[in-house]
Amino acid sequence: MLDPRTVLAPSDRPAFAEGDEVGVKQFSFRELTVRRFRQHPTAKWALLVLGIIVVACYGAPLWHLLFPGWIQGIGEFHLEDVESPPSFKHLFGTDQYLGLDIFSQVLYGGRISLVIGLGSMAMATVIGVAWGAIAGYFGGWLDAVLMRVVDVFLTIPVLLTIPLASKVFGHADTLTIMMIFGFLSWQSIARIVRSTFLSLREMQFAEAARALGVGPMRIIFRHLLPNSVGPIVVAFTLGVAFNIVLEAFVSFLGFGLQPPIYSWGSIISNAQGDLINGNWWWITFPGLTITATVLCMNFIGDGFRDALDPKIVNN
Amino acid sequence: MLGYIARRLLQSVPTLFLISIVLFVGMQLIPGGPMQAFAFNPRMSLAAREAIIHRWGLDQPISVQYVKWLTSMLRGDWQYSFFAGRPVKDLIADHLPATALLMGTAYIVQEALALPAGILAALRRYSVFDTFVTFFAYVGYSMPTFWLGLMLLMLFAVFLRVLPVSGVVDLNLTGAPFLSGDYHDWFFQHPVVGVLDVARHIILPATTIAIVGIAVDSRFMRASMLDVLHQDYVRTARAKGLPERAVVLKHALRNALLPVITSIGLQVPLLFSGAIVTESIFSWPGMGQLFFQALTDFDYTLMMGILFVSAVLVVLANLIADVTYALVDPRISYA
Amino acid sequence: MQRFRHLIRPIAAGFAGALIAAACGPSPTTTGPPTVSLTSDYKAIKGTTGGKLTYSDWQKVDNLNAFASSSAAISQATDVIWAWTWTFDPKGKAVPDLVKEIPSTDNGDVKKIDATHMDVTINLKPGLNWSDGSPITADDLKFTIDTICNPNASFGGGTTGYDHIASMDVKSQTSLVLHFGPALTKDSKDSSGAPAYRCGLSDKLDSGIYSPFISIMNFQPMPKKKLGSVDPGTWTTNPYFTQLPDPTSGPYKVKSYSPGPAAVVIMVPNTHYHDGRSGADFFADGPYLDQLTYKIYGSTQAMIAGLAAGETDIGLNLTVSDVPALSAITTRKTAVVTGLISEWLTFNEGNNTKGCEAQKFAATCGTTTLFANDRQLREALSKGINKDAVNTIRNKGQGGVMNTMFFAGFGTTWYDTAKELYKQDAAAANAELDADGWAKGSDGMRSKGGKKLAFTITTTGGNQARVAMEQEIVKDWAAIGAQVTLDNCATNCFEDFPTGGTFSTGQYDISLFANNWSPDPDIMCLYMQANQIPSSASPSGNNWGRIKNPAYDKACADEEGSLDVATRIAAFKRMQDEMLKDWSFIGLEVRPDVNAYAPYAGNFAINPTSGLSVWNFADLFRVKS
Repeated sequence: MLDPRTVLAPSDRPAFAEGDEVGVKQFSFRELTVRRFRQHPTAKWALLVLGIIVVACYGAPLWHLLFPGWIQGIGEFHLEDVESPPSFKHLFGTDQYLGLDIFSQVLYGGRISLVIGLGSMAMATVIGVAWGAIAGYFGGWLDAVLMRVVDVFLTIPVLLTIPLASKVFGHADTLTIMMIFGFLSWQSIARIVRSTFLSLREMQFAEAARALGVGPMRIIFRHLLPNSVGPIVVAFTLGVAFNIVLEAFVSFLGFGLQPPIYSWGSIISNAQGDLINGNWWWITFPGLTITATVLCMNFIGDGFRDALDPKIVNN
Repeated sequence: MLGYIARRLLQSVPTLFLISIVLFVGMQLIPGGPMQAFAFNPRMSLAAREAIIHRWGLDQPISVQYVKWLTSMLRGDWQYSFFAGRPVKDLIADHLPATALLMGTAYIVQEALALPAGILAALRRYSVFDTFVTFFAYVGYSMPTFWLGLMLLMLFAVFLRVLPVSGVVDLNLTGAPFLSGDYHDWFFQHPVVGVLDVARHIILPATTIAIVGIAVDSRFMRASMLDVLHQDYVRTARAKGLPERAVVLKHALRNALLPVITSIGLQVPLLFSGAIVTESIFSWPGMGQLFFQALTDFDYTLMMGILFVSAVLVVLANLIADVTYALVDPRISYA
Repeated sequence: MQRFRHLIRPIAAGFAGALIAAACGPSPTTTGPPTVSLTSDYKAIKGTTGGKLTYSDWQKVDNLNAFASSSAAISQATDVIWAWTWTFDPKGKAVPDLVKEIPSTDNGDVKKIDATHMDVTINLKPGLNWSDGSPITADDLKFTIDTICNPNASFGGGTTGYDHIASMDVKSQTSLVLHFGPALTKDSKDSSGAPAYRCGLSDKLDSGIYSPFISIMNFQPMPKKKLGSVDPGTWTTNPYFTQLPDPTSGPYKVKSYSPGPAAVVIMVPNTHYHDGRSGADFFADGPYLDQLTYKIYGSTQAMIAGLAAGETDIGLNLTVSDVPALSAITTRKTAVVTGLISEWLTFNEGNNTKGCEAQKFAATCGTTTLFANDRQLREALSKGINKDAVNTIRNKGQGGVMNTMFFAGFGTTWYDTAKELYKQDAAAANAELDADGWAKGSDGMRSKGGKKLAFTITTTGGNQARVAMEQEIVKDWAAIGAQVTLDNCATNCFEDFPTGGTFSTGQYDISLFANNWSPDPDIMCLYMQANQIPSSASPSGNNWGRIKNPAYDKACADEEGSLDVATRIAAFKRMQDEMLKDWSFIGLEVRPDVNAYAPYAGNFAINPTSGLSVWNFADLFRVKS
């Protein structure tokens, strides 16, 4: 029966260490995973689409240089184009006040949103892995204390404390938001790593290493961590997706980035007052972009999960 | 069993304690502190400011303030809202019914759609229906709730004009705001019209909240069902010759539903925050809108009251989830 | 009580806030829906009794306490519930409400005793009653003024002018005499030796003469018999202001009130409103309606939808961006009027004290801004802005460009219109900067003596139209070699000095905010007098630009201390001359006021002054079709 609180069931078969000689060609765990991932059609397409989005967004300044009439530069606007619906010149239309090209805004905004999503999860992973590893490996009272702290964080409603946190830091810039999100995201990774370590550490190869006198640090880094990569990767991917939506939410409430720096969420926030005028393009396209990006990430994350979880594979 | 519940309850106390400290300290850290609320009027004299500080007890050390705050909260004295001048408890009590109505409706809609969809998808795995449900679940989970709300608003209320833009009731129809004394009188005289009126207004916000829940729950139901369907005892039941319907309804379903029910409890905090933005978009006079306003104005006492209530709710939800789970899964020992 | 708030309150995320202010002369709008004529005097039509009307705003009404808040949405309720001593018509002229006549030297109600003393007599109409039938008396007036000045009341802002009153006398049941004179100060002691000071005054006052008192010192009397024994510190939580006010003095009284962002105030006629008013010039015949409802929508678009659906008859506090949607509503008319809301940039001519919290923003802390002693820089920056583009972006061209630094809305009597200044002249700006020593670097940006011409504009956030306007300014100034960044002070902008408010403590280079003027130009002195510079000694001064100009100080002292209009005009004209030399501000544009109303709302008269468009709701009626 599934436990709704654990994100994943940890793999209960250890991977073969690379270079093992068994006679028949064995794929390493990594190769097996990649193979299974590639057989997952949606995940493949999702990776492709995500790649396109990332390249499009990060390359925005380059596109501006190459196609200046089509992609606007930062801070550029043309008053005469104000409030025009989608056309060839303005793929996503323009805004109500300055004639800003929404397509360019979405591209530039994407850089901010993606960097916040990835950066915050990177930070969360580092903290979470360290925390969970120590709790999971050493166990006992240390584990209890560390996990209690995690519980406290998890029970505080995140979506209520983020506006509070951004108020504490005054108006937030990209780095501050990234750090705030990172601080609020590491807890689930810590939990996953801890439960993975708890089960892995009882296995024979870990016992053997301990019997041989290998130090705890080496055991953690050389033996336990590599086998936990699977769940961590999945949590990372899904976490990035969640944080992108979270950032949009925070910006939408007005507590995130302030104009003229736009993230996807703040574009939607600016657009909502204009709905009554029939200005549908301003709000539709940025939202579709968020949905598409997050959808791709969710597909990829689930692709990893399916590739790594032997239970589903066997079914 | 009772011992397990009691132990979990006791364990929640230090958690709540810690949460309250974190919240309290967090509020103090905000630049300007609680006095921010009053300082909007720069022509206030120094003496007036000091009078306020003294009256609210803000000139005492933080530890003293915390103890005073905690004891008054536990005693039930939640003070007055800075901006509304009314007791925080009254404000929360006034706004809770609207949120409860919205949440309840969203929950019912959500589970009524998600559970059957998940079960059917599991039974007809790899069919068109299954693919559709899975895809819909993915998309629903990926969409930002607030964007979905705005899109629905734009489509149905602005372009098609079939549903109202905001509020709970049509003031022209009822002549009195929702849940006021006059409204009750009017409602008892026109119950059918009243219910239809509220229903018209609740469709869009409830759908907005429910979609994410449908996405998550349908997938979880499907996964849980699949998991159960491949268990040995199901195979045994089939081998025994029991009709498929009995197999599904009597054996598999009951076991598959249990984790889903547990997860429903865990969704309470998500619903609460989903309500913040949905209620603001649709001008639904509930707790979410109240909190959003309190946050924007920095209405200190009101914010603390709402955060306290939500923290308690979350801890309670987790507790119920834990206990339910322990009750139904015989593999968990009450150690 | 001082009605006018000189600042815009913090703007909620995503929404624009607009306070309606006093106007003296309308500015013509160029395009868009027809404006309401403000050229003829208001004359009420005799209406028909019966019917219901609903009027709306979109910003929340948390309480019904006019003293405790500067919110226009709240005032639009409280102005209908409580009557004023006097109010202002759409042209900014004072109109008697509870008083028999407006105090002036002509009718003897204002008497100058000597160089530092004057007496003002407030005469109520005889026979006025509260909604429960008890009389409105001079005791109520005195009680209200005493409460305004009571430090425990913490009304936050209404004491300007009242601090010039040394003592008051109740002459009769309907007559109160205010003795203006050098009032007690914080060092004064009363007869028992205890400290006694008047109305938050912290400096010695030389003269009690205060000529702008008509624009600033009108107030809404409160019932002494109901609130006299209540500690003024608890007024904000008293059920009289938070649940049900009774008794009251306005044309309608509250039947039920549910507060918040979806507030609804249901009002019924005050049967005693007419007592004492027969034969009066104004408000003699109301109230007409059976029920008046004030409904708050959470957002502008909800309100516009409500107007379209016929759920509300009058929509207030809209913006020009809403005009296209409003024009589509055939059952409602839209009116766009420019009033007295203007937006301007203020240079910080002192130190930018960001980070000086530890030193409590001492005047010596922080770095001196580029504008402190550089008049030519200020002039060049002024000339570099394209104000027409700014007006187009901010007001869709339907506002007015601020051509002069002296705000034109005060009326042409007070200043010299021939001294028009504004003309965007980037070439002249460039030349001036070159001459001033600001050399252009290779990247096009200027620097002088190692310092780059880089600075920040600080404003409240959350208003897209304003941000868009800022981006135009950034573009214009980049063209003359200045590197400008944008910053937001969010909710901390307008707080006072002790709380660390951004503008008060000088934590900015250039500030951008809207100003909500009163009809009397004296209000500009609050931003320009040296004794108004905020500090721990003077925590609520408004001279956030830290302007120290003796010419301004002399002009302000002269005009405040004289009741003679000619002397005042001369003083203001001297002030204007100095402004043209000093370049302390950059006025940008005048923001229009947008309302939508049903054609059957009889006597609805849009009022872009502090009277607000509800000023004459005693005359409001529903035209029978």
